Amino acid sequence: MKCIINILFIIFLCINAVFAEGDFSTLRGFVTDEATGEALIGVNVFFKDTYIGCSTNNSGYYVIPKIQPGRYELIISMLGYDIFSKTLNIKTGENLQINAVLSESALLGETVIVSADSVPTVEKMYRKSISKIEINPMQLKRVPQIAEADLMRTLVTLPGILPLSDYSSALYIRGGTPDQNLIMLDGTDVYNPEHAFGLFSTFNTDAIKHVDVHKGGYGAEYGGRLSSVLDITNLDGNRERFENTTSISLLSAKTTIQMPVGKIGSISGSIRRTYFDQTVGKMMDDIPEYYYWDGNIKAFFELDDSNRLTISTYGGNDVLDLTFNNESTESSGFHYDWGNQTSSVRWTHIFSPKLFSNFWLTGSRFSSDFEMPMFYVSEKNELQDLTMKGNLEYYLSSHFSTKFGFEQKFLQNKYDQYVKNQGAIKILMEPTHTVGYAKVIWTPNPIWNIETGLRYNHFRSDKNFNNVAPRFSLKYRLSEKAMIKAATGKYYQYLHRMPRFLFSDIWTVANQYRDVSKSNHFILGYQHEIMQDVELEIETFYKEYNNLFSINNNMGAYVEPAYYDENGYPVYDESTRGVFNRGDGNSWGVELLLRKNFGSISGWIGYSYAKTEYTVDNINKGRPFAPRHDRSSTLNIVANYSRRMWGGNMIFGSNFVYSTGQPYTEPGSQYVIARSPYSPGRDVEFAPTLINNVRLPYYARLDLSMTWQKQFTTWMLEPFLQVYNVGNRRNVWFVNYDYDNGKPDFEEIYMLPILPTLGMNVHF
Amino acid sequence: MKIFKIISYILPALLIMACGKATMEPSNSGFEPKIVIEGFLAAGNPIKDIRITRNVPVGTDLNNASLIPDPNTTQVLLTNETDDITYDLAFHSANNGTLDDYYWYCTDNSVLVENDKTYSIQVSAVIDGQTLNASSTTTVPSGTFKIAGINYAELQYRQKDENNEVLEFMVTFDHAVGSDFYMMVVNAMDAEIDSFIYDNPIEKLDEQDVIEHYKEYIDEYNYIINIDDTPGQTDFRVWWSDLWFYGRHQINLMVVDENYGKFIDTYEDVQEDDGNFHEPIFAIEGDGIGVFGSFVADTTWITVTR
Repeated sequence: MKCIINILFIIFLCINAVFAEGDFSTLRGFVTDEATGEALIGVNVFFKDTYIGCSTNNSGYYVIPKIQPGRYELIISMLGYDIFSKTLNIKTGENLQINAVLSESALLGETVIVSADSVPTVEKMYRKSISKIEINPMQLKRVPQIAEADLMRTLVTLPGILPLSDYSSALYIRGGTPDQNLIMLDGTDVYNPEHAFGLFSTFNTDAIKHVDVHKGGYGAEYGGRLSSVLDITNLDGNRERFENTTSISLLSAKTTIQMPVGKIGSISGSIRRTYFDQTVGKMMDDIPEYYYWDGNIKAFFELDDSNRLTISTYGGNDVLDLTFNNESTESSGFHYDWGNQTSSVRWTHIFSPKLFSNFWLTGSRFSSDFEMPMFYVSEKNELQDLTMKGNLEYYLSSHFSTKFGFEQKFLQNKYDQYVKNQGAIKILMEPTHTVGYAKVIWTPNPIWNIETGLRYNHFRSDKNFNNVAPRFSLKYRLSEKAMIKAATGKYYQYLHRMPRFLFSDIWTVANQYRDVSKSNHFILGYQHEIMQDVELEIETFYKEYNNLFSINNNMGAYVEPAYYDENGYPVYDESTRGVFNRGDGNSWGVELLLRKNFGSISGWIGYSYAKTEYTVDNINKGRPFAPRHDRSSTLNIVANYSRRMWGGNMIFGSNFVYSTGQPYTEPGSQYVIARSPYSPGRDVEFAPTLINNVRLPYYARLDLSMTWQKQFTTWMLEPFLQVYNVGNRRNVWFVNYDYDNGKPDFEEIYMLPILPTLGMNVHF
Repeated sequence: MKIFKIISYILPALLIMACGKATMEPSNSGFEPKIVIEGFLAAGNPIKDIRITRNVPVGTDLNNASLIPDPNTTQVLLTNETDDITYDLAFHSANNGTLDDYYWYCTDNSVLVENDKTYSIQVSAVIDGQTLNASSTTTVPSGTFKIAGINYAELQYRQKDENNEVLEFMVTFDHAVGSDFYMMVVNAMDAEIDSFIYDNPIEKLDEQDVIEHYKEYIDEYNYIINIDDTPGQTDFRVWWSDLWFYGRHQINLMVVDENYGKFIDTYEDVQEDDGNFHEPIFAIEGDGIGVFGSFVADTTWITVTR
């Protein structure tokens, strides 16, 4: 660890010496929201009529280094905000700090206009990394959903991001599985971010400030996962006044408050709870008692011009109690609860105008607890992650900037399962993960941008892994309106997941029996501003994977105990083999995104054509097959239309999705066999032979929503109606095969039917 | 208003696409004819009851004609590999019999399956005009296995002790050295609709449910895997969830070989929770599926009273 920091420091000094400032000037500052004081992320900052500019980082900070002396018009703008402009006379060697406060755009005329900012769309597209998608809370909330807005369910409307079924909010990005997504909340890794058995994600959209999604080819500052990054930033809190948003729907109630803390900071908090168990559940028999809650608190303090402190915490839990036979004189059933807790402290420090830094101390814990007393079964599943990390950004000149940092993770992976008179599983692993990274961003001229980086991983469990992951990306302007981008990189993952249906996933780590997983990304993209504020993005990608670990469905036939207890029952631990199947694979595809972010009509059309293929030991006799999440073609149309109506604003939302059916394994053939010589009869059984050789029928769904916003003097009322699957299409989830009196009986099991939701949001 | 015009064209088109009911019929596109072997060699017993059938496409009606390959073009050879003796098995049939009545057997009744010996089977049959071949090998578990005792011969249904703890039947057995897979088959000997235990904490069932699914409750099975294969004793619980009727129950405790263990562990559970299928493990080479395994069994009895 010390060695890595020393190396990074030496690199930093060398770079600094080579690119010494000379007589140039530097402009820096923070950009915040006038109404709330929130730092604004991704704001465009540039000098008018030049290519000189940048975007604010996740702290709302910007730097334009190495400016030639002269007169400039500074433009700071962001979608939905009025433009900030200021004329500057920059002198030699000057260090200017301009903190800009942006105010939200006014509503104009009869139509609700979310106005465009003055930065040409093409510039915003150019500044964005390849395969990166930025989503703001407004876009999140306008996509019609089940019951309430959901981050994950919105993301699956974008090309290259797919769900497995209506019952899951887990993301399959460019052929990758959900465990290959690095999900971070305020800089903290979140494991198993799912409520309601995966139906909803754990993130309350009212508390979200900004979301970045990297579908691939991401830079050296991210790592530890094979496929993608989901970086979520929650609201810091309103620094100007008290603010509240309360929502009630058929599923849940939630409230978010924000308020200033003196003159130096702010605090925000939100809480949400479902109440199905207290309403409908009370009136119906045989409904398990189930609810979930979550909440977060975030405090932000501006200590001085160079120091900011952010403290954030999140907690959530799902609780399920099921009784098998509630008419019996003796009751029995099971209890299951699971949830996440995360905390982070972030110190933002500006060492000098050109050296910006963030340091985090984060903790993340996922745990689940299962008890079924009648069968003497208990299970405790826990993953803890304590991380220290730092990220420094050094702006050498208008041509060069660097990012470098470190990460030290202390993980604890604990899993205990006990079945009386059957055996036990006792897993305890305490690996560490040390990371050092650096990347250089070189902009030799306004038409080229090249980023190159390295990420070094040292992972220690019962085996040491040392891996260097190079990253490279470039952007090139083809014309004033078009550009190409490319990226490639190597990615390593040391955590492996055992997905389970309904039950929360179990994580385990790379060790002497399970190698590190690897992937390589190759991405080429073309982006074009085809008309004012309309973006066209076409990307093609190829990904290859090595050492993918999936659960072995026949593990009982392969696992061998680590040792026996005093009664001769088996005990399994982290050295047990046979639990996973190892495999390799590849994904490739083409994605198209046509997007309009503002105006009375906004939305996007996304299309992707992709193929994923796995070759897994012990499956399909070693022949390649398409995994269940592979869908060749997917089309998404998301459209919102806003207009003045009934003295308020009416927003109509729609979401259409069409996709090729998923691969599916058929029963193959049927045969008749006895279980034992003592069995009184024989059963009809199936013998699948070809894995995922057929496809389910195509999937299609249309969702509609209608939201009416009425602004009063100090508060706003927002009743809404959402209809999920308005056509009530019965999309096949799978087919159940059975026999009834010797006759075959097939039954399609369908995904969600039409689901209307009425709700109300109140903001004040 | 142009926008409304566009919407009025597009929205109905999308709606038409996103409504209706999708259906799925088995395509049987991956169907491959296979010989199905059902062979359980019981230590100490003659070689008999080996059933050779075939698989059929999903959806086919199941009857003797569709399942049993022509015995005239089928050959079943069983070899005691340890002693290098091969037996050409004979076919037993019956007019209008059930599948139970059609099996292959060794005509010499004095030939008994012996512990620790290795047996192999070779089957050749003509199915759908193709000559298929399948083979498998099993080693019979050790004779050190036996039931050493049982803690209660009789209990009331979920009887409790003075500490209000539920009492349970426990079968203690001596290990079969070298084997680690044990299976218990529980047969309800006094099973009737009236003797069904309706007041149970496991599943809410009424009389109609029991009539419809009667067979499913008569015999239950359970297994434990990876038991210490060195000499010693272990308890096997008779779960209350395997006892659905008042009255006598026969407990057949078996130690099974690796082939049989892998089959039991995987053959039924081929449809995953999300509906997709996966392959079971058949320790059969060539064009065969099913099981050719061996076991040693011991029996005891328990009674559940009201």
